[in-house]
Amino acid sequence: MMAGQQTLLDTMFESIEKQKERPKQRDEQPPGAAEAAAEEKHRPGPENTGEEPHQRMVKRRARREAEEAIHSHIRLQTAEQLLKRVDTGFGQKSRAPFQTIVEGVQNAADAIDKAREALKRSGHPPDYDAKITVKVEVVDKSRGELYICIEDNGIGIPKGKVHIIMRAGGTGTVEYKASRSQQGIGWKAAAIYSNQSTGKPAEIISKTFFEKQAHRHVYDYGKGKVTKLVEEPYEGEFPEHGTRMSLYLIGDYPRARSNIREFMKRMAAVHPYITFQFHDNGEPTIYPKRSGASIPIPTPVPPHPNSVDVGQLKDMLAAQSKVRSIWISGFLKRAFCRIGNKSIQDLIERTAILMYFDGKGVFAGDIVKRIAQSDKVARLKKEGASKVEYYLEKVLVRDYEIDYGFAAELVMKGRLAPGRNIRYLSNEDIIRLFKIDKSELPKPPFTPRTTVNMILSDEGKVRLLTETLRSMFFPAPPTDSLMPIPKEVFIEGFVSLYRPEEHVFIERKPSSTGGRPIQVQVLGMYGGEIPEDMRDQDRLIRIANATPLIYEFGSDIVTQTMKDIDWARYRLGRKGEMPSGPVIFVVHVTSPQLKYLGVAKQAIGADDVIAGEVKFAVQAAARKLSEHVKRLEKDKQTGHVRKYLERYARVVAETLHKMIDVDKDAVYQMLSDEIARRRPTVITHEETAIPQATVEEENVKVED
Amino acid sequence: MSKSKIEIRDDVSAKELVQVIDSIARQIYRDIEQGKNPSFEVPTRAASNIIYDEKKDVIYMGKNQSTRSFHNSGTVAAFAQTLMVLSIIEEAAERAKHLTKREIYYQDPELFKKDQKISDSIIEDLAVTLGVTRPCLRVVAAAKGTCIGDLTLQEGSDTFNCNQLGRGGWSISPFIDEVEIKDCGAEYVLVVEKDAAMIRLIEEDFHKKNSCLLITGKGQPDIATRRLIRRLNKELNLPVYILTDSDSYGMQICSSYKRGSIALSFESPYLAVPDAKLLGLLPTDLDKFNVPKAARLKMTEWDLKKAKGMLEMPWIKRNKRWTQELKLMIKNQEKAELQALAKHGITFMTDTYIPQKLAEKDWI
Repeated sequence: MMAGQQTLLDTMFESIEKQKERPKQRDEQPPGAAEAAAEEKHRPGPENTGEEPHQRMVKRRARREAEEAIHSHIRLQTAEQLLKRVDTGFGQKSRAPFQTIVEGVQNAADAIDKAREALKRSGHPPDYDAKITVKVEVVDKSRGELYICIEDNGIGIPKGKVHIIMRAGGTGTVEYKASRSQQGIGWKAAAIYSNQSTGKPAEIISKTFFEKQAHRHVYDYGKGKVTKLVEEPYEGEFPEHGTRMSLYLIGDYPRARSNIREFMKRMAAVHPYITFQFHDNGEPTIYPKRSGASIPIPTPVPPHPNSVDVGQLKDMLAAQSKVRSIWISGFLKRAFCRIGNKSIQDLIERTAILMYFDGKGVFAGDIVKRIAQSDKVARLKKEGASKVEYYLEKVLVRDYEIDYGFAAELVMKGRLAPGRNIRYLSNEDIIRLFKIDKSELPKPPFTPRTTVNMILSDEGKVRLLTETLRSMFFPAPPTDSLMPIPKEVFIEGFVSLYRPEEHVFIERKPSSTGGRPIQVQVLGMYGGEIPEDMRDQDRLIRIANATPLIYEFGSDIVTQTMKDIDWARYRLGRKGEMPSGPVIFVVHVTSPQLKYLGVAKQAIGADDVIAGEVKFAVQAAARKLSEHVKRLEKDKQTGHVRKYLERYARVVAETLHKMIDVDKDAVYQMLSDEIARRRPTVITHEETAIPQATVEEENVKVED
Repeated sequence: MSKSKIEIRDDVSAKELVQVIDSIARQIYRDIEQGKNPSFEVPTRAASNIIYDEKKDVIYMGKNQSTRSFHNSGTVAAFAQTLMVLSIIEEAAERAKHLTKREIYYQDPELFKKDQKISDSIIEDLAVTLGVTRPCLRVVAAAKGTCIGDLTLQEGSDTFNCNQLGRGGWSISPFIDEVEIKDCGAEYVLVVEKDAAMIRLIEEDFHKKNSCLLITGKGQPDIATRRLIRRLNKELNLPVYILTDSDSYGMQICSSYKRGSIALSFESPYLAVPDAKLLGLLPTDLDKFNVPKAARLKMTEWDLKKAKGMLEMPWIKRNKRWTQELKLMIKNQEKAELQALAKHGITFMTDTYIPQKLAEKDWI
């Protein structure tokens, strides 16, 4: 999927350059060629017929033409054409204004992060008065024509680069790091929609710190191509550096408004270092900058070897071989994270082991898995190594003779346990476990000094290398490429917004999927000013790479995972539904090249690792919240009982007063004091006034 | 189970009662002052806390207790209710007055959850808790029983003979312990379960012809009726015969005359008449006296369950005739009312059935 995205982007970039050069004749085809080809199919092969050479030649040409006709639909796609076909979120009038603003604000936030990065790299304090202003003006109410303008004081776009961005896409770059606008085609999609709906061009004004003057560009996206209409210096008022992008479009603004507001509100919650201004048809709403605490600026990190696939490896090898022929050891160290000199040695040996198993026809991985997953083994573990060994030898692994004693030892040490597989065993372990005679190990088809080209030339070698990479243990990928929202920002942003009485923040350690690290952060909030009854969409705030997601709620993997959780266990609702009660979960997933459902980037696509991470984190948060819910329930119960007892305290006080003439108020007071002493409540109001942050770091769960 | 029976006094004066209640109230106040959990220890009035005295054929109450404390949401209501009843009783005792159960209930129906059964039960509990009989608590139940026959009684300044009070007989006084037995010309007491049979007997002048006393408790007997029967039995040595319907309910009523009920077992020594005999209508009588099938009724589930439950009681188990009769009833699944005998003529009961049964000593 990720590789697919890359290719797609590459295609788009290339397509624009190559469009003009494309040879014309490809589209020409002789009439009737297809029929001829169809006829050809039914005839016997030329080698068996003994026909005239001339006749054969004619037929061959006809066949080639037929095939060319069939293949004629294969052609490079332009970004414009692509955008017409995929869902970019501009399909609904009520959504188009929202989608435009999301794309623009994402670009703006990325530009601000880049400005901060530039400041930091050059030894300046990175914090400055960053600001994003969104303006929506209703131009023509009856037609629903809107003017949308998004301005930031981010890094700006140099004059010479504007055309690349306006032609190819947005401001995004293809790197192995998390970013908000990762494909960088969002704004362009907005501009195309804008042109389709209003016929008006899109404008961009930008200035970098070092440019003397801002420059204004106007681009037209009509007729399926991009045309530059204006490029001129801009004399008007403009920040020291930044970008102002504006366009006109037809949209159902009254319906889009609430979602835009929600997006701005949530965006402000996770970006305390940026002032957000939203001019809603002249009515400004300001979300002021709260602090200098920012989201870390991610740095690109190469993919993780465990989750590489054959196609991806081939692409990576090919990319290297174009430059110059290098050794495989150098390639691996550079192209992947977490591969060092030692892993190269292990890797070669591991390849030999895999080949050995292949040669013997042993499904070593299966055997290891069988032992690790066996419930019976897990039970026998308590009864001692000898029982495990006996069971392995007599029942579980009878198809291949292994070192049963050593296997039992691994089981006892917990190294062969549920969730473990051959990846967790070192080469030495495997050699001992499968009683491999080292002299019998085959010689691997490559050494550290084999060149990339040699491997690339042999499909089998690529496959073998992929398999080896996937079968070995590498530490979890580094998190530099992620953009986790700092704990304080997360808590401060949302807790001050929703004012819950209890909240819990869970941060999972980074995991990896598809060669990229992912990290999940969850904030659970309960009670306080959170209403009891809410729409499902308000109970789960989805954030992906620091961008709140609003649309496509139901299809998001995070939503689906939430519905999988048995909320009854946490007193927060039922299984198969979103949680219920005054509870909100904020789920942030950060990953470079995050897989979205569609170009609109409003829902995270299905992924087992993401689902698992989200589930663990949300469950951990729910566990903490459920303790609070339990206390509340108990307090409520206690309150009922207290009231009940106090009613009788009144009766007892009055009766005693009648019987022995004691002060009834004093008796009542003594009784009710004693009731309160004997039935204390856990949560007092003094405590809830200052929310106490509970932070928990979850253990890493490595992808299988 | 080694149970010892609880001792009950029946000679507590009003003054003593006031003193006892006052000290209880002061103890509760001290507990409250000291932050303790004020409580009442109440003997359990349930089947599990029953001692059956085989020799005397009477059931007594055991010493199992339950605690009703204030700081317990399960018992706080009972605690407050008990204290309230105590204060009402104390007030009445101070003025040397008697109270009816209903009067107590109406002091605070809200507190008793609008159910007189609750206050009634608290009163029974209190009697046991204080170790006195209910008459000593100065709480009287509205007596519903009547008595007719040659019996001269004195109550207060009035002296009267129960034969001279018309066909309605004497309405048994709730203050039965203050009634003095002056003279009696009857030879035995015939207790009738229901008023309908009583009317028949009175109309036939059965009590005059056979010189006996006719008493009915009109269903489940009240304390005053039972107390009167016991006094006639103990003070005048009159034999007591009981006539009930032939069903499990009738047998149970007979049993409560004889041995006392489970709920009031603490007062059994003052109420039970172990010598009483169940004359009829016995299940064996149905065939013996040719009660037509049409006059017999099918037993309901409830009847059968009740009958089977009675078979398990120790005092039934040790009595062969009772067991036989019960088993026959369960086997035939038939029951019949006394009025079923009227199929042989309305005077069959008075002229034939009762005299024959008494002559044959056919009772259990």
